[in-house]
Amino acid sequence: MNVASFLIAVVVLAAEGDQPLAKPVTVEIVAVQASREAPAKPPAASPAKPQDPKKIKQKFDPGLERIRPIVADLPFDTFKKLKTAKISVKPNEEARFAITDRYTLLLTPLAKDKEGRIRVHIRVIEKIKKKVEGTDKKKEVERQLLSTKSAIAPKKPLRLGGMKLDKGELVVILFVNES
Amino acid sequence: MKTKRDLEQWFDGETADPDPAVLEQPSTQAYLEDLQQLRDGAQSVAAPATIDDAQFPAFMAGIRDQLDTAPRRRVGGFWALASVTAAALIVAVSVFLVLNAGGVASTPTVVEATSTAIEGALVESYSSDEGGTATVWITLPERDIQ
Repeated sequence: MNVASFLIAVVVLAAEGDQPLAKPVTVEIVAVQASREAPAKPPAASPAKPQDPKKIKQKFDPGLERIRPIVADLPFDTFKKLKTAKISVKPNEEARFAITDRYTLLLTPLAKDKEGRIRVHIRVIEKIKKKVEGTDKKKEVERQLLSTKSAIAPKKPLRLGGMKLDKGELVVILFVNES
Repeated sequence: MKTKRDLEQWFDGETADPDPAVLEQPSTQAYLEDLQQLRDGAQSVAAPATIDDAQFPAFMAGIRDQLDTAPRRRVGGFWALASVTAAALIVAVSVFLVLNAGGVASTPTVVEATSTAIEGALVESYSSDEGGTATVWITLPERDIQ
């Protein structure tokens, strides 16, 4: 019985702390253009704060059925599909995904925590035209719009938003799972 | 024959054959069966199994053989312990997996850290009421160069 107690202790202790990822992770990306076509009803709350989904009737492009409940609380009534992709990313390697000509998403899988979530580092890079000092010329540069470290649970996506588009805003939904 | 005693005496061979008409009666037959059964039981008690003098040495030799035989060694002790240990380990791992599985299903996505390189921008993070979707939202300053 001492042997059994020892083995039980080993199993329990092994559950503590992050574990390195042994295999590549699968990342599903859904990028949409979110806009408000109907006249805004005052007062429009900050997009960062959740809204009552019953107040806005939302329209979606075909193929976006999966994200309907995920964006239901956003203050937008029209969602157009920009890009969807499913990529495999190796642990501790940065994968680069061009969402639009303007925005690029970079994702690095880091580890798996004790709750089974995949810890990732995500950056969103924006290309802008910046005026060259002393001239009238503009050159294209990249700037880091946002950076986040998140622990993404299976079937529990991460949502990124607030990035401006020519029309509306960019909303990106990420699903991360072990392969 | 007038009485059961007469039947008994005939049964014991002490009197001549009875009247055939009496013997054929069902009650007579039943009583005779009872008497036979009684006789068989008495005879078995009267003749118990015995060991005579010629058999006695062999009888004692058999008893001594049984007394002198060493007890068999128990070889199942190790395997019994191994089985119990394996069963305990399986139960422990199963309990761990069940508890762990329940935890994963209810665990929400969590935003642990956020930052931006844009001066004046605000990055907020929050989770939905159901603890499912986590959100990172950037609000750019009005005078952003976009």
